[in-house]
Amino acid sequence: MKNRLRVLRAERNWSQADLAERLDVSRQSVNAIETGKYDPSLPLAFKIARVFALPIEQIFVDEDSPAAKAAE
Amino acid sequence: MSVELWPPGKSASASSRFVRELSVAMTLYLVTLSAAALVLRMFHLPQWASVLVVLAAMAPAALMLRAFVHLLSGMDEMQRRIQCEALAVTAGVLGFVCFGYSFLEITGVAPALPHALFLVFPVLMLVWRVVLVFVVRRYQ
Repeated sequence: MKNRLRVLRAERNWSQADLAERLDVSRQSVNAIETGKYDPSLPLAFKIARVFALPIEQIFVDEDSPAAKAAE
Repeated sequence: MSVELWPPGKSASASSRFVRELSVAMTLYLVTLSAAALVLRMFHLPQWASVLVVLAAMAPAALMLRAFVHLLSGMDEMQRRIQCEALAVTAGVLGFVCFGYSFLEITGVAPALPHALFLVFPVLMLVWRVVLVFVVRRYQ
């Protein structure tokens, strides 16, 4: 699952450690999510959405959705 | 970029707490074990008392287990997943090794290991550490 975490983080000038602290996870987990190596659970995805004050679908992209496929 | 393998806690405080708890438990274990060995050598105890003395060393061992449980509960969801995968693979590897060695033992190819159960925990820890390296790489 793709996501815009790295871009959103950069827009706010947050380091991975800053975001990790806000999410109460390790910096390694933030890195794994950003690089697409790990898909967060639904509660963590909602927490990420809350931290960035954005709807969840503006952060995570379901690559299998018809909309995403049409965009490709 | 490297992923911190040891101590694998979510935060530095969780990791230092784990190291502290484990150190205390291991020290107590060694002291209790030495004391139990000394008592058994010096006194002729009835069998029930000998069993209690021998098993006394297991109490600090339970503290070690508690330290691991505290560490796991302090991890975030990805770290728990990594540990879970590593432990599952470790259990499989250890099971296959034990099973394979038993076949060799039965056929007389390999010697029967005395006190083989003592080896299970150290080998489990060793295999777990090796497997963890490979599992962590998948998330880097």
